Amino acid sequence: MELTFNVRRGDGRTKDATYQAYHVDVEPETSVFEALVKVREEQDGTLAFRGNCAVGFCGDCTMLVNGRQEVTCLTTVSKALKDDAIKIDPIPYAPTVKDVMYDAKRFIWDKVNSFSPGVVFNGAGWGGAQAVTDDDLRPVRRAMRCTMCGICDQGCTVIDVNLDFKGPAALTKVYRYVFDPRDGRAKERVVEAGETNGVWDCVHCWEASDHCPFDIDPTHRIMDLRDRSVRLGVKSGTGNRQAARHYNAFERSVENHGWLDERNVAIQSYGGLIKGGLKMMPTGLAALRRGKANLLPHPKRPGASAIKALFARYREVTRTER
Amino acid sequence: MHDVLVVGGGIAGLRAALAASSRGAEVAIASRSHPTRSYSVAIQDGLNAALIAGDTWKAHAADTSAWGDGLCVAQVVDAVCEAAPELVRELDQLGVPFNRSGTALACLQLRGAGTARAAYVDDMAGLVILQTLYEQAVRAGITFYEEWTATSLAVEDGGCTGVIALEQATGELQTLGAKAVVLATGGPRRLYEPSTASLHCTGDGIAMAYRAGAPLVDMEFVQYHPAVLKGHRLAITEIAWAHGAVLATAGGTVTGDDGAGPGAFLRALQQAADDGGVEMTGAWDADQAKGLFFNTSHRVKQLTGLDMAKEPLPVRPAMHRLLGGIAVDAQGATGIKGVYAAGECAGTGFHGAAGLDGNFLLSSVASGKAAGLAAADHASSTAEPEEADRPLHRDRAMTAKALGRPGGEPLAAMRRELAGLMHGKAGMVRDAGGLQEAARRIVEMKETHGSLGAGSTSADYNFGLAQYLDLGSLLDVAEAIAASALGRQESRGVHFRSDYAARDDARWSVHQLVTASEAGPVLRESPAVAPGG
Repeated sequence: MELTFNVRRGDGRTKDATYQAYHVDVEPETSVFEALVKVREEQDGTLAFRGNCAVGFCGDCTMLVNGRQEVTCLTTVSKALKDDAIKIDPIPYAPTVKDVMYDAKRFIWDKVNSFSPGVVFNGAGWGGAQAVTDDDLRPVRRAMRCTMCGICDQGCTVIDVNLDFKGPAALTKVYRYVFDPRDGRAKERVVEAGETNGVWDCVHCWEASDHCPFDIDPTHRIMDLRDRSVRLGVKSGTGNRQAARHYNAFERSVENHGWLDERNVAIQSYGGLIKGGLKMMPTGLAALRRGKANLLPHPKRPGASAIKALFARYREVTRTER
Repeated sequence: MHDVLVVGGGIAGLRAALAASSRGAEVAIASRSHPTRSYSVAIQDGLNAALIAGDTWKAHAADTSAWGDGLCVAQVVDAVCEAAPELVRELDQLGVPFNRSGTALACLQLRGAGTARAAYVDDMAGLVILQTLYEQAVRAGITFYEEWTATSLAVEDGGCTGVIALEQATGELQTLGAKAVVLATGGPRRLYEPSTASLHCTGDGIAMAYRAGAPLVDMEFVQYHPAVLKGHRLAITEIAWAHGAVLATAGGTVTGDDGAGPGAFLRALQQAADDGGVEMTGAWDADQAKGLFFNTSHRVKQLTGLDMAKEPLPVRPAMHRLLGGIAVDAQGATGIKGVYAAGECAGTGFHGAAGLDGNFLLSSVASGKAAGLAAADHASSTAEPEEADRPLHRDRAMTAKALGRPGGEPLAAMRRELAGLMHGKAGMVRDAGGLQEAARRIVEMKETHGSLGAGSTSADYNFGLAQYLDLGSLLDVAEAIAASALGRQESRGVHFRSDYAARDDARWSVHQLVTASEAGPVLRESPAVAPGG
């Protein structure tokens, strides 16, 4: 079948990208990636995009196909086609290097490698007393389906506004270490992951899980990391105390009032009555003026004592576990 | 100048780098793509190792040799099979989450194995092992030259002082100096269509060694994968076979090699695929398809819409693997001092005339480790050599010329023709007439190739230049394959000559080494695969 590619051309992030049309004749089941390779080989050797394996494992060929982020070697042209044409752009959250090639170093690898890499073997192999089971390793394997295609990061609502957020792909890599029972560094790793731009900066919008092409459910992996982190007694990184303060304030509020005392949680999260109070003062005054807040003590939720009892019970149970 | 420079960031290359680093060498890796984007990532099956109670490395060695049809190098087979359990254990301790059965390692029985022997990671051993080795390579502080394309070995006066490489982002050629070089550049799959080739499977390392005077070995042995999704490059995982996959042809069903050997089995399949098509079916339930073959079935679904758990898949054989390569000894040393080779680009003699499923990954890990250790030892006993200027000037002149010449469509057309020619004349069924015709045509193509180039003068990310260089590598490897296939006047393993249909032990229990010369490839027979043998 004959079709037209309209491909974004140019260096870097020019605002007014130009589109070049390429006409090519391929089979309907040809992937967008293979069709673009054909274009590059036959028509224009200067057309820049990445990709190697052509079977959906190397993760290098991610582009926007008619506005949708796709692993292009797993997307057939017949599926992608809209009005006999396919529009190709680089994924927009990452800086563009050239044409549709994005800066994978900045977008993915620098973030992945900012966390201590490599399992540090703790002696739990196969056979013997410390041996791990397949049930232990199954979640690790699921996380390791990740090809670093970058599609979850491209869907991430935090990266959209803050390119420095480590993002679901890099955090899924941390999950792979922390949940690997053969690694002996879980605590150090959750501290690293708890620094600014790490696990606590995720806004759990679940976009990553919706976007992941390989059913890794990365948002859930980030929530698992938070959970494991707290179980290990780590509520944030060493340079990111605010996350721990927020966590503690949140917990205290629910424990003591049965629900959220937003005013106090905000003040405590920013450093307590004096520091946090000062910091929140302008917001608080504005809220008071508009009738969105008052100076009365925060009321307790009906049944708050039952909730408080739950906390006590939880503390008792986890103490026994320890 | 680095102690050890590894060219290629796949499983063999990363394993070599880690081994060299463990010996205290300062190590760098130069790779055409980010390491985890290498072809190795697409390997789905596992690694053979005698790990299950009752299995022995000798049984593994016996199965390997039987499949290799009398041409395996016994010493290499013994060494690799004996080391295999330890190699798998090392990978596990580096962080590969191999499947378990309870707390013991789980193994699958792949075709050609007498027992369950393949350690596996669902259906994504390549992806997971590659990722794990990369994690450890970063941890080990290895230097990465990502998106650098090697063009030549920097060889002068018989010694190697590094590699000439092109930085894709700038178009600059430089010498990456090293006391020892490990080539781990993969196979030449792009030489054939259909094939399971990644874009970068161009045999460039094999061609670099060949051009620098190193002998290649066993180049006539080109193995097809029996079941590749029709119209695509996706091999259907060998793990499916271990769970009862059946190939249905118009003439009935085939499940394995039926005792006639892998070559005959593949030829029968090829015939069936040409005649009326082949379909793969299995008695898998949805849970298996989702669990065991998640990665394969997901990709099949994306590409074809078919549900592997319920529907038959149209498949056909496609070129998969070169069994020979740069001739190396048991430590990975090539015919050039200071240059080592590992993985698919190395001809170790392990596979003989036909390679066993589960032995390919094993071979990459084993040869990678061996070559890495040997390269580190060489580096530690070698004084820093003076960098050679001539190879760099030669390659700069060559690429400068190429930038001014037309490329694109004529190169694409030539590769299409070459891939058809190799599949037709140097594929599963060969004869003297066809091979001579192929060899002649390759000479003509090389001539034409010399008058072509990059098609543009673009400096950064010039894929036209890459296309030109790749085709040059493919033509060099094609020449060596055609000459070797013409030379071996018998049939053995995956090499089938319709004009010499029988195996001839009296005459052909030898390997063929092939060396480049002005007048074309020169063949030499040898009982050993090692370059000096």
